[in-house]
Amino acid sequence: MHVEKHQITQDQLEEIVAMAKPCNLTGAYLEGANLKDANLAGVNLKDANLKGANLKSANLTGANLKGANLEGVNLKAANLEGANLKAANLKGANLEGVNLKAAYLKGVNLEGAYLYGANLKGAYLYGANLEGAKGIMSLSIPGMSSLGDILFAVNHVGCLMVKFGYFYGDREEFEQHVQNKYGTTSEQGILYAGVIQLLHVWEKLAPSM
Amino acid sequence: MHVEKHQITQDQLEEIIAMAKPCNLKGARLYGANLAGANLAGANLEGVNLKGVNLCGANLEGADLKDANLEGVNLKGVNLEGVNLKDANLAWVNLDWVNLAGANLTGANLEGVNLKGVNLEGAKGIMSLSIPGMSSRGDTLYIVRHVGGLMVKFEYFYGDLEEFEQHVQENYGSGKQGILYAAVIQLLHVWGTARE
Repeated sequence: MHVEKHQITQDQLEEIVAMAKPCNLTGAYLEGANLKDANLAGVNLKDANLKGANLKSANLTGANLKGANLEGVNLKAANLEGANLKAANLKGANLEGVNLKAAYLKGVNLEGAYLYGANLKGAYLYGANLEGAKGIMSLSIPGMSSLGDILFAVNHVGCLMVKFGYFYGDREEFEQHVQNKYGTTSEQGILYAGVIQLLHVWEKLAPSM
Repeated sequence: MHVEKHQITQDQLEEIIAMAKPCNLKGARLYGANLAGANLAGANLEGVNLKGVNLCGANLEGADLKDANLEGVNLKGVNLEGVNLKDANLAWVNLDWVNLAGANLTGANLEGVNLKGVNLEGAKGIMSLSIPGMSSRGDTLYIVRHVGGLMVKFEYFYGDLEEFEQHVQENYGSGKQGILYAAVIQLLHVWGTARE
């Protein structure tokens, strides 16, 4: 499209906006918006309010969703590969079958999110809130931690990533972590040995289950 | 409000409950009271002796029942979502179709309780384990300490560790799920033998 020097119409403007990629929608108010199947690859939605939006099957690869409010959104089968979701709020979101490969999820709120079939390979989950999230491995044993923490494990690239309290690392690092902290002969040490045994089995089976 | 030691009538009791919002009945003596259908959402019932109280159809959502004695009470169908039952006595309580989602059950006495139809999602103070692929229905496995062992709740199954072993052997055999369950049972054994 050729834009003349003179005034442009609303239609032309919309065309320009649609053409412009990556699009900048920083802080945009899009609560409840219907963006089903939308192509939003590389879009900048930093701090945007997308609460309750329908983003089913949307293409959000490489999008910047840092600090965005995505509470209760429908992201079923959406593609968020490589997206930045740092400190975003995804509480109660439907993330069934979503592609979060290599996504940056530091400090993200995934409380009660539905993660069945989600691809989290290479996703960074340090500091993420996974309480009540469905579709990932979670284990809670009274007495396992003085903080009452729940252990979460997700299938990563060639390994399991374990999140437990302030710890985040692969299964091997977790083994080291609990050994340093609880030893191997204390009651907690023995309990953790049992947990690690289960993680071993799950790590081997996970890719095929 | 201080509830005196002497008997109060049902009308007085209802008046008291209606006045108190959210209701504070901490330390109250309610033996034999009829609280059927009462709205006690968010009420403070800490340390209250509710033995023999009729709570049929009552709403106790978010109530504080810390250290409360509920021994033998019929709680069938009662909404107990998010209640604090820390160190409460729930021995021989009927919990048929009770909603205990998000409840705190740390140190609660669950002797003789049947948890088969209970919603325990997000309950604290009990063991829970969820592994994708473990159950086709996405169910979580819950384990509580019982008299002389562990009780397991999984899918439609409810029984002790031995029965659970039998159950998964019959249902999942020696396939991938069978291997996973063997590891789960191993962990349950370790936890079962650990001191409380």
